[in-house]
Amino acid sequence: MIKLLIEYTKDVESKVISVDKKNNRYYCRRCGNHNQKSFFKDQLGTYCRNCLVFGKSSTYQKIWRKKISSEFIEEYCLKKVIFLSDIQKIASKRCVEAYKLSEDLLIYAVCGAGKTEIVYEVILKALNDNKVICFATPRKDVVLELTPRFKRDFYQVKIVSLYGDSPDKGKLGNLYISTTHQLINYYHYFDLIIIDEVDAFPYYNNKMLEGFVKKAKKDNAPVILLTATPTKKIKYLMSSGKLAYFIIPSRYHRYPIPLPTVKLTNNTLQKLNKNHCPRKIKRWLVLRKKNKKRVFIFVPSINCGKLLENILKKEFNCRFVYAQMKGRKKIVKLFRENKIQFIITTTVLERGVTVSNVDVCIIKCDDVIFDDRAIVQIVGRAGRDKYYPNSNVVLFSDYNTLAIKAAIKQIKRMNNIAKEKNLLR
Amino acid sequence: MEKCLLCGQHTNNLFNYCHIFGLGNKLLCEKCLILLERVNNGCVKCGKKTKDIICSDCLYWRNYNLTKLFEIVNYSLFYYNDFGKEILRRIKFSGDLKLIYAFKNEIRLFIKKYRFKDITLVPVPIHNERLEERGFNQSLYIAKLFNLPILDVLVKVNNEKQSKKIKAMRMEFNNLFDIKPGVNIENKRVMIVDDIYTTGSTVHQIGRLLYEKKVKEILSFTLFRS
Repeated sequence: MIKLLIEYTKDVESKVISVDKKNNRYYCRRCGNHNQKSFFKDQLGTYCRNCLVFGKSSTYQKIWRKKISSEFIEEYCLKKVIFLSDIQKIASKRCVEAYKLSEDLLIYAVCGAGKTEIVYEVILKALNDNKVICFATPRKDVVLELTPRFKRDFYQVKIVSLYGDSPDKGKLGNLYISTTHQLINYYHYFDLIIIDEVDAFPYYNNKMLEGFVKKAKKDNAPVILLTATPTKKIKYLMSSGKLAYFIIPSRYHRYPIPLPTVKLTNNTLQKLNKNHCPRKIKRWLVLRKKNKKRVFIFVPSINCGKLLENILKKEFNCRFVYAQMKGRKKIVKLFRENKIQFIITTTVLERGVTVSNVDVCIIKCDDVIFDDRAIVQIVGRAGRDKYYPNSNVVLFSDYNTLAIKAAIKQIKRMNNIAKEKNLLR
Repeated sequence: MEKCLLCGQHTNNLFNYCHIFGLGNKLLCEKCLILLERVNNGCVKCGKKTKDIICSDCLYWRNYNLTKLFEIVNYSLFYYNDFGKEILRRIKFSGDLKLIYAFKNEIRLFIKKYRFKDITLVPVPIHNERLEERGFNQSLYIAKLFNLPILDVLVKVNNEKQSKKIKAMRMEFNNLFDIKPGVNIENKRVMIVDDIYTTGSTVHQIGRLLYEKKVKEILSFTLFRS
């Protein structure tokens, strides 16, 4: 028996062949792939290698576009009133406007501006219009973090959270919180899609995932994009007027973003290889230890992180965290609970982690991994709590790179815009 | 520049004159090639990793009354380590046929090394149900890489999964295969082609069938040896 590939839709129910031929060229209905190189012939037909992870899609297989429709109740409301700053209010009004006109909108908000709260009003509005909404994000961690939060705030709504091995797959709901990969199972289904962290890996520069979003939404359904660090492509779209945008230059607590200071160290990697921590770094860390302040230490590679952990283990209460590690969440949780003072991490914790009262440093900031967007995101980890808006951010680098300069320039620019608009305290 | 079939990274070879003649195209990158563990210094008959000259499995087949009369020499390319498992999983259960072509160069080298002449390949069949599920018979496609004549003479009768059984059950014969009627393979050197050799029961069952058809010599080739 051939397994049918299921896609949920609100259109008429149908069964279609998943890889088809048009003008002598193959194309995949599942992932929208047109590249002839990624099709391969086997014994029974041709299959698409592009979306193989999601199950084989081929000329001898069919997609069952299954019609489902969800139930709604009369009126939805939030559990508690959410206080927004003035600029956030304007932004959320702008979102509602875009939704009504069914236009795409980009919200370019600084890290820690409260992007999620801005979207609440649109979601509520759309829910009361009996629409199905999707909050998509490229990262699974974000889905896991947001689901309980949304469940708490929208207590009447059936919330479905979708990720790789989630138990909610195929369930009916009104609000879907999903990774962008999981949108493959939907066809012309959502009336509003909100994408968080548009510039994050793997959504950035991935045509397949962009295709999924296009496929999952209904025709002329609006897409709201949220980002803190727009990519070149998005910047181009903004400047050329193809994408409406709204900038939020200040954080919700109206303190400026802390400016990073660059400290030059010599031969960091060589010193780490010799089991020796550069003096400047050590001095800075000792000072944090005295003040009992938690510290994020970002390193460019796993190897570098392991070396550093070995060196610092004796003196400092530190742990190393990286993407493939199994007990990663536990350690981050311990860090949140103030049981670990220093956390060494690769760029995994670059986004979506909120810890109050932390200092941040990057070691070997001249590495290629730390481009300007990464540095801006990392700096955005600092000073997110309104009671501790000031924190120390240091970039330890062998030399000044263009990325460092660009990042500092961007932060300064946002702070200046905020100052001009009187958004700072 | 080509991309590595297994990991998708660019293969690390520089452009040289071989590329002009289409010779130096590497299908795998060096990182992946290191992870694959080559078969050497194992059991003489099947290549199993042992210190003995002949492993216990082969001795079992030598004494088993149905397989006493003939001998099968097995050639395997790699040991079935974690990386090998991952590859086979991707080929067989995700259904990515293209990955088989990653072994093209290895197989060509293998033929050159042993100088096989006038050999007929017999790929191990899969059940029709499984064929519909997967879309291809992986053994057939491995055999196609050899550039040698292929005789698809076998039919799988029973749709049981070998890998779900315990060892003792696997080593008993229970008529998994059948030979298509009206095929003449008398006095031929035959090589059975499969993806993995675990206990040798598949190969020996097929060997028994071929032996009854009076084949001159039976060899076997598998990509992996567990």
